[in-house]
Amino acid sequence: MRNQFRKDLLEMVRTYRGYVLVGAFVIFGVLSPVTMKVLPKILPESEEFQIVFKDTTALSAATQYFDNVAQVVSLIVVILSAGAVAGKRSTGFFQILLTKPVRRGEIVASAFAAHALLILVGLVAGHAVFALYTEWLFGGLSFWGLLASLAACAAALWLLLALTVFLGVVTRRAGLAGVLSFLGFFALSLLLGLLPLPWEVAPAALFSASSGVVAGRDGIVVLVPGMITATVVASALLAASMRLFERN
Amino acid sequence: MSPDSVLEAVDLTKRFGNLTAVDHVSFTVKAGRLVGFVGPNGAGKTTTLKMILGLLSPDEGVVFRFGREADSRDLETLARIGYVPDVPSFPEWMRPLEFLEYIGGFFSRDAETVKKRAREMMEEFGLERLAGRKVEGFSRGEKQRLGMAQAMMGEPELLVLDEPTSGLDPLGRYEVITYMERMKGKAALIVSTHLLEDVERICDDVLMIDRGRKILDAPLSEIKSFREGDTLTVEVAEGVDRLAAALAGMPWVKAISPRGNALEIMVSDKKAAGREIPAAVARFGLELLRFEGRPPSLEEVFISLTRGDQGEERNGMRGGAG
Ligand SMILES: Nc1ncnc2c1ncn2[C@@H]1O[C@H](COP(=O)(O)OP(=O)(O)OP(=O)(O)O)[C@@H](O)[C@H]1O
Ligand SMILES: [Mg+2]
Repeated sequence: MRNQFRKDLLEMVRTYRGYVLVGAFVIFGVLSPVTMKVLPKILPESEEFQIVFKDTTALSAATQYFDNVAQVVSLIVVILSAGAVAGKRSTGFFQILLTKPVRRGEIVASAFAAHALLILVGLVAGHAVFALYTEWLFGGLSFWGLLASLAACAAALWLLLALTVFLGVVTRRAGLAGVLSFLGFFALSLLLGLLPLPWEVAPAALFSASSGVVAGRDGIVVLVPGMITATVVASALLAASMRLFERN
Repeated sequence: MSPDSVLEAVDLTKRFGNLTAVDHVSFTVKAGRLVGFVGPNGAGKTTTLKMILGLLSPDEGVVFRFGREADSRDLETLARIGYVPDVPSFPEWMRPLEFLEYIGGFFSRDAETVKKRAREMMEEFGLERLAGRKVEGFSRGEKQRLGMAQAMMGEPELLVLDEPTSGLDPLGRYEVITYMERMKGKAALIVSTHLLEDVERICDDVLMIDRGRKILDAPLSEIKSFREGDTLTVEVAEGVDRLAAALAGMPWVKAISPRGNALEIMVSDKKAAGREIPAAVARFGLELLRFEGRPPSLEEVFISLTRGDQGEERNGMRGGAG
């Protein structure tokens, strides 16, 4: 496991793929509070805009940041991880790898772990610069809220990652796996919404709920149901991917 | 299975839809032997090798590796096998030494041991010159050498090479053959190829398949002695046409092809030919320059067998397969 994991991690660094994700997190971490601060000043002085942007706060900066994470960063996660296992099976390299004394499940697990760690690093970096800028421009962030939202975003993005890896193993096609998992992630949340359950259990709700928590408006508990769903489903998907890959 | 066989395939069969790519093929690879696995394009060589390695699961039949039924979770057995696929590829961002150390990491936890082995393999396969370069942009021959080096990282007892010489220039082919000769001292090999001359010089056994079926399985020495003298060459100073016309009617002549002043004659009865050809030369008063029988090349065996017109002979040869 360690040998394969080390190679997968190194691959992120050496192919610069890792920098794309961390870079995206950092850019949105900076841009979200900054745009919320300067937008009201550069926009035309029309009534309409002034109403929307009159009182931008830490909450508006947070909403902006978590929207970006939900929409753009998650797409980058899918694009980066879609080819982690899918489509590689027929390459000469994978044929060599599959005949080495290594459990096939470990190959999947290590690809997941390397991407999961990258997501975590990106989140920590993104959250850090977001917190610094927002605190400086607006003030009023909750420290524990920040930590909780970090865990919540990690859980949601890891679920997305697990879904991408799983669909990659099933369909064996990177592009297809990418499209399906991006749709699937939000479809899963919509399906949960159809059930007579609170919206908070949906993994996609973790992003939108995070802004209130970070700004100190809502308690950390609103994140708990979604995190449980995300963790349970992600673990199940990862286990299933490993099993399927072992079995050819 | 016999105790010295490292690999045994029994009735291997693989179907892709309607196509039976491999059709009840059985064979054995014995310790220390090099098996040339020969067949035309699409014969089912790659499919067979992938089943041996557990990259494809057979529809029928079983594979025994070192006496154990093949199982992709049997890591102990996998550790004793090296494989170079038909189109070897590697993570493009890696350098060769780095790649070898990574592969070595699957066999040993001791970093020093791995490093040492990787450096040895770099040297053994002439990769030192490429040490500073990324795998991206390696030529076909360079990839082949790195492929063989990684296959040897775990000191395997069985090596599986799929078309190691295809796409290489004559020098590259010669190099690969030399490497195979050296690896032969350390492991049993099964090497697929459609270029018979590549394995003819170095293989101990020949396994031939065509359209998924085994058509020949015998030691190389036996194939050659079996067929020795089937083709005779007679060269005369002049009057080759008259000689050809006279010989064409003989019952033991299967085919005659003129080559300048010489005739290549395929015969069914070597003894009769040996008596009657010189007699015919004497009768016409011709000057005999050369008269010889030679062992057919594997190429000729291959062509005559794949033409599918010599069923009894095929069965006869199978008897010698052991
Ligand atoms: N995945 C697959 N799906 C469908 N058909 C396949 C597949 N793999 C191989 N075949 C078919 O099975 C037959 C045997 O193919 P295989 O690659 O084993 O031949 P080969 O002897 O290795 O040929 P070559 O010398 O060209 O490498 C071919 O007709 C090929 O088209
Ligand atoms: Mg092939």
